[in-house]
Amino acid sequence: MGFYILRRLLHAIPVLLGVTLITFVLFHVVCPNAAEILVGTKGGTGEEIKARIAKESARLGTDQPLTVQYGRFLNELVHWDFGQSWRLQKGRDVIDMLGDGVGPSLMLAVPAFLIELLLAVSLALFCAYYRNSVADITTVIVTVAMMSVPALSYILFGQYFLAHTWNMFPVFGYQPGLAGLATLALPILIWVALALGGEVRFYRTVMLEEMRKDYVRTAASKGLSTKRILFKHVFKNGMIPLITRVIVTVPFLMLGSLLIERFFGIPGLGSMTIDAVNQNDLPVIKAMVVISAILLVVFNLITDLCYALVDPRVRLK
Amino acid sequence: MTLAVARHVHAVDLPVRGRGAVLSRVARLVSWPLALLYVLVGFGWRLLALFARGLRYGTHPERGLPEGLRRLRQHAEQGARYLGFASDEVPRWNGTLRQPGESYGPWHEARRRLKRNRVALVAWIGLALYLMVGIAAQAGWIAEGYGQADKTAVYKEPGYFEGPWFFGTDYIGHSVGAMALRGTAVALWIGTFAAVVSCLIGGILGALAGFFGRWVDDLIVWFYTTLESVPEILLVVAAAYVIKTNEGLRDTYNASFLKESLGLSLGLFSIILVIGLTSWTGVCRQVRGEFIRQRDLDYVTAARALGVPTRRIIFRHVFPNVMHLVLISFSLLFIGAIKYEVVLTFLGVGVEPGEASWGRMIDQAKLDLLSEPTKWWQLTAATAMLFGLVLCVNLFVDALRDALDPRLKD
Repeated sequence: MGFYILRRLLHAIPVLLGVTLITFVLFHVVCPNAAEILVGTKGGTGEEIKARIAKESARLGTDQPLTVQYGRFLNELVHWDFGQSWRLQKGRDVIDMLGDGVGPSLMLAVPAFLIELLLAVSLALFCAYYRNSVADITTVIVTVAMMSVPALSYILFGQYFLAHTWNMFPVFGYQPGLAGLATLALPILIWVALALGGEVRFYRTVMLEEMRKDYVRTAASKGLSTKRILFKHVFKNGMIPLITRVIVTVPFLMLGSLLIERFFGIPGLGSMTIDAVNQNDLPVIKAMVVISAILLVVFNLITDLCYALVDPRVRLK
Repeated sequence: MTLAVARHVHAVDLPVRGRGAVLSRVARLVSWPLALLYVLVGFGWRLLALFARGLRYGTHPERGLPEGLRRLRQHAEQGARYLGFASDEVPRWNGTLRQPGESYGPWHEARRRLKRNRVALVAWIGLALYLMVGIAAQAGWIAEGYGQADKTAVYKEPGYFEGPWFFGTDYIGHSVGAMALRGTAVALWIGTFAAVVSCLIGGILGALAGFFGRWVDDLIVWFYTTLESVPEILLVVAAAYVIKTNEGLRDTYNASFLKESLGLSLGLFSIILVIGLTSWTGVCRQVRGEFIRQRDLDYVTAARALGVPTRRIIFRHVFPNVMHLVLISFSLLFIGAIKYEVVLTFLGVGVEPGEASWGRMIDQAKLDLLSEPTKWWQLTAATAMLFGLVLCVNLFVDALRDALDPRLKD
């Protein structure tokens, strides 16, 4: 097991290096000289601006060769230094901003995800129990239909009709703590509606796949009831893909959802990303890319380790 | 020559009986655009090959053009029947049909299962209808005036069955109905292009990684793991931004036949391309996994022992056996791209002014809702159209997956 962990850790290094390289190249192509954006085009004559850009370039190091710039980028990364924001909250450390954004994102994502998971797994068990019946097919079709509506339409319809016209929910806003749950109700509802279809389909397949295995037939021939087989044996084995999927989803929960956060005014990482993209706040975007990549790599690693822990066959490959 | 001709018997129509009879008939009726596409693509491709061969063989009685053309016609006809649910025989490239005693093959089996699934048939009919609308809109038969703004008819309500405003108009007098119809063509282009690009990249890279293993595998796995670790949305936004702001590229594109023949702006074309270029990792992963499983099977060893070139083994022997995975991924990528376009349009990349896409309509609709009384029709039209298409593909994929899964046979 120790050797397996070591090997997996070593595998993560080239991936992280690759991510930094892609990020660096991408940002260089989008914005060859960050100083120009930072200085802008206003305030003074052309000469003054040119001088200011040159000064700023020297400060940022963008007048150096690319290899040096990449080295500098890596060096900052290793020191966990993402610089200061340019536009959103000018002069503030990006890492602090991101730290503030995680809370609201999780406030929305965690309850939404838990509700979604609970609903999806129970519906999947229901479908697996009554498989190929009208109830099963209807459930799948309805959840898939819910998934097929674009997120933006859900938000617009929900905000306008449910919240504004019929006053069932607050339209907009965010409060930290339990008081915020009222404003989060509609976003959570939309999240669940969007995600349920895929999850139900996934867990239903998992359960059905398990039910075709030999041990189920053995249990049935032993005389166990379908209910007992389903809830005791199949469900337990189905937990393996379930846990894996949950762990893989965690980084996405932390990164938040772009549209929902944006429209409901939740100051999470998702809406921060959109703002940063709209306002060309490069340090924020850069930090988002790198940190989310690290999160993804780390959680992938954890998933693999959990998998190896549960299923010894994986370790030997 | 006579022998070869004698083998070309027309496929006999399978009698359709039982519960799905009506549905099957409707499916057959509306599948003509798909059949048409099949014939066009297959026919065109094969025709090129035949002409190449005809040049090579000259007027050889059996291999020259006339015989080839006859086979081609057979194949095209059979392809049309097959897609129109009129016959269950899988068309073959050489124009022959299954002989008595020959095996049916996995696709045939899958199709028989698919045909029994009523949800799949309904979804298929829906898809065919969308394709008809798409073709008609692209050809300019319907929704011709989608880009024309009529300042005298701003925010007309639906039910105004005069002139082009059959589903109301938007804030500068575009016809919502016409835009929604034109949006069908745009959405079909988006989905098809993006899915084709990613299936090509993912399929080929996955095949290479799975088949060769070792450093090729390591490299390709590293590449897609890295790409997956970067948040896709930022990748797409950055790349679309680069393509859009590149003046030289814009001029080249606007002068090219793509602009003329598709009628898509560079912004839209660039996001199609970028979605395709970034979303191939899933296909690649799946194809790789299946190739690893297949490469040690006996038929591959046999082919290798017979001296079949590696390229041929990969693409002719193994690839057909992973094709079902690609097909399913294709459909999922298709709807993924269409839904993604909505988000990207909201973010301000992609669609340009004067272009009609569902994403743009939904994005515009947020302004409609702010005014009193509610202008609900633009949002409703675009959402309903998108919903229908995505739902049809989703349901069809589900059925397809069940049909292709051999473990469900019992």
